[in-house]
Amino acid sequence: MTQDNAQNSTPETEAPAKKEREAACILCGKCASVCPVFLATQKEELTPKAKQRTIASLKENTQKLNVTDCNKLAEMCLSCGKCAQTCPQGLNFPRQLAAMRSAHSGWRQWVWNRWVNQGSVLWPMLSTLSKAAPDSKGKNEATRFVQSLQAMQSQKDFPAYVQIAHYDKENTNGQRVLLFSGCTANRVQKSWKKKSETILTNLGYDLLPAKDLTCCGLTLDHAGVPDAAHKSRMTNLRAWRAAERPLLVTFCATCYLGLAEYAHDDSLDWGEGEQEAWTKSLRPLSTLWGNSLFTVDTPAHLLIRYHQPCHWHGKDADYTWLKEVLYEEISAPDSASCCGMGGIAQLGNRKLTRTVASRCWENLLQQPPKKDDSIPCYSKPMGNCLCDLYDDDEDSLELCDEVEPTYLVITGCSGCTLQLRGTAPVHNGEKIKVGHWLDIIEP
Amino acid sequence: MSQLSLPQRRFLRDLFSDADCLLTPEEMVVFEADASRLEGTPLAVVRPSTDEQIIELMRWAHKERIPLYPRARATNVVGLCVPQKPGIVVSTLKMDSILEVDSNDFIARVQPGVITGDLQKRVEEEKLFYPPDPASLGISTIGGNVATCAGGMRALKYGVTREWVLGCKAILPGGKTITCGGRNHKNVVGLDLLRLLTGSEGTLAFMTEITLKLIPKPESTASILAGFANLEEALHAIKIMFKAGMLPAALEFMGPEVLTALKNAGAVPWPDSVTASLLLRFDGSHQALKADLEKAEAIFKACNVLWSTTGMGKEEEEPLWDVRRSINPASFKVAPNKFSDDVTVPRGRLLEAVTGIRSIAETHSLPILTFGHVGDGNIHVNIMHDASDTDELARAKKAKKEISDFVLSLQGTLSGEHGVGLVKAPYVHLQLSETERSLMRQIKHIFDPHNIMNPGKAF
Repeated sequence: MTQDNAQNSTPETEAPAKKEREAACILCGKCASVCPVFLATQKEELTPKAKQRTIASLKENTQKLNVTDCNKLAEMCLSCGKCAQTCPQGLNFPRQLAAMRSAHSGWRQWVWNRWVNQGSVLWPMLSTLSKAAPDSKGKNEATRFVQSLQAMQSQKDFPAYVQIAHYDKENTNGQRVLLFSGCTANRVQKSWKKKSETILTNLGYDLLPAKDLTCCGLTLDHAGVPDAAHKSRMTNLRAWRAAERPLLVTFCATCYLGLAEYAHDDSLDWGEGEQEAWTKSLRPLSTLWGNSLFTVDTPAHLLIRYHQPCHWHGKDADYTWLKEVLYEEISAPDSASCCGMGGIAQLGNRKLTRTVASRCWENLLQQPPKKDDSIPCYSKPMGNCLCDLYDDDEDSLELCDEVEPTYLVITGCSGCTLQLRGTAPVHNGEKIKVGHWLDIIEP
Repeated sequence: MSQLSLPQRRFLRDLFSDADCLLTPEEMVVFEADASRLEGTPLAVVRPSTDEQIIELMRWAHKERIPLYPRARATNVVGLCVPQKPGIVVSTLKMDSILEVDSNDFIARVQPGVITGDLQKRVEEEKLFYPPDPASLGISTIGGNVATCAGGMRALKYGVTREWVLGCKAILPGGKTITCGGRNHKNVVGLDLLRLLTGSEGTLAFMTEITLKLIPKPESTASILAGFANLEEALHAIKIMFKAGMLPAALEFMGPEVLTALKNAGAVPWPDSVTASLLLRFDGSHQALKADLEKAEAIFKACNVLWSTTGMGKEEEEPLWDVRRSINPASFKVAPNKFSDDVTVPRGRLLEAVTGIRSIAETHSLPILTFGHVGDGNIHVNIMHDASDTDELARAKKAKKEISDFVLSLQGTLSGEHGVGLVKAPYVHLQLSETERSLMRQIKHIFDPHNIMNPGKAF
């Protein structure tokens, strides 16, 4: 099987379509249809529009509302950013929430305590936060937690369903590359990092040492610890600059979004034209295959379901590529639904992240629609009997063959992988396996 | 009444679970308003999930004389969901099941909280079709669509929501349940209560179940976007097309001011000489569509079309319809604020209406964008202005009033699809006589003697 996505435009690299501006919510309700918290609960009071109205009411009339209860409602946000993508007024609730958090005194202590005690899937990011921890003991604690997370995520046995028959080195020309692996791959899922390095090397890239890179800063930013986030960003920017601005490659949707946002952060010490260069250098790993060739070997009854990370904001380069390689072997739910990872929400509202995760699993475990979903052309009848053509009930060969499928869920985001692993239900007596797409590939 | 008494609160708490009975102002903030951005006072918000809960609630509210405000996604722009008189908001969002899709009876039975677009996707899996397509179909519900008798672009060929409602189960104030219509595609027994409830804006009863008519899904669609030198020629081309026996599924027009706004917002594909544009969609079999496009192109050519482009199938058609979708964002580059109206005139008077509205725009030196569903005489009028300029705001308000009067003078209607709600209620007397309105009030009184269902709305 071949694939070619050299022409694929990379998502997120262009500047945001809607510049954020001082705008008011017009209550149009578009955000409700994309908000994972609302969709999992059907509670209108938890929609982004409700939160916008709460903020507006607080500004106007603080006496009317109880501030603590308002905060509780406002906290019911998973920072997926889907509302910001949909809002015709360009409002960005996760960002507003982060600003509110950072302005709150005592917030940092709260974050630290919660992160250590409850934020298991966030532990990979903990050591970066530890540098900004309210007391100095941070570092050691962080290491301990990451180790326990490593132990918790036992080595999953993923057969290499996808093998690479031929690496296309045609357009690579030994270009220099910094691999941005992100916190999870650096600390917990080291195999992702190793595989990515092998892939890049085999594709003919000149892989540069990446030891100076740190957390992308996105989770820290949403957590309302902007100075820690800023520090991370500066470190990464300097590392990229020191390496003479090579390509910056990532295999995690959240890291990608985090890095893409740098270009819109004017508090970084950008040089002339450097923001554009940064944006241009940023590439999802899955867009670098060129005309490489793959062999695919999947067992019958294996249903590979793809979970679309919210942080691709609808422009998922990974899925485009996987679809080209795995064709009908892989499918995604009709409507992308959030896994409930939610970054900082893990600390404050685990129950909510679980509720959202259940809805996500419901969608993932649906059988994909029949393979031929296009409407056949009845204008040119091909069969002998009209019934064969017009009557779908005859088309029940597959139905007779009732074997329960085995599900495998793959995705392209470190956070989603951990969250889905942590919430995976049991199917046919076995916990459903969840992996990054790197897990099913043998480079 | 400014708040509920303790026994009243207790009643609600007993009837609904904690998660579905909101009583604090913090939780209720969003229920004060809808997309009209008008505000009211919710005394409580409840989310029933069974008919029994609604029956009990309607019995109790009737006895206690407490207003009830049915609400789904609250996307309407005329204040239909606003609890202007303090009362209880009843959210239908937990009643969101598609109960049945029957491809033999060609019906779907749904609860009111189902999203219209979701229903369409579901029935299309069975090669069935539910045509009504209000612009909000991805974010609004069947319950809301039926309560407002929502329209949409396909109304030209398929009619509005009303044409697709076969039956409903509704609960009256006091708690009695009525069943109107059913699964039959024809039914003439008794007065047509179903048609009375459809479009009644939640003022008569609470619908808990709706049966909709379905038809086979057309094989495919095709579109054509065409530019003309002026509005007269564009509308003449449409006339010829109807004479030739063609009925597009959708037929949109864009006036000169809209085309200018689009051009200023970004590159447009047509030459500068184009000042009026038509956008058509046909549906049917692949072969018929090919023939339809050829015929439409030939007719347009004979009618002096300056520019046109076509698309067969969804993928090819999308770029054409993107033009229509970019009107709203482009309009805000003309001026920061707008009054948006959805007046409708008899189909034959569309040219007269658009010309008249343009001359009102000139009198008040305001940019007024006109576009919409040319096939059914429904014109979207956007009066663009800067609300921070008091003089301009006053002119915009004046223009709005003049347009309403003018449309009525053409035997038009104040609203084709948005509804009356609170926003247009003060103007209803311009269109309906006292006798008619009194009859409507008496009908309401029979359904709802204590005026608890969405009071102050519609008529």
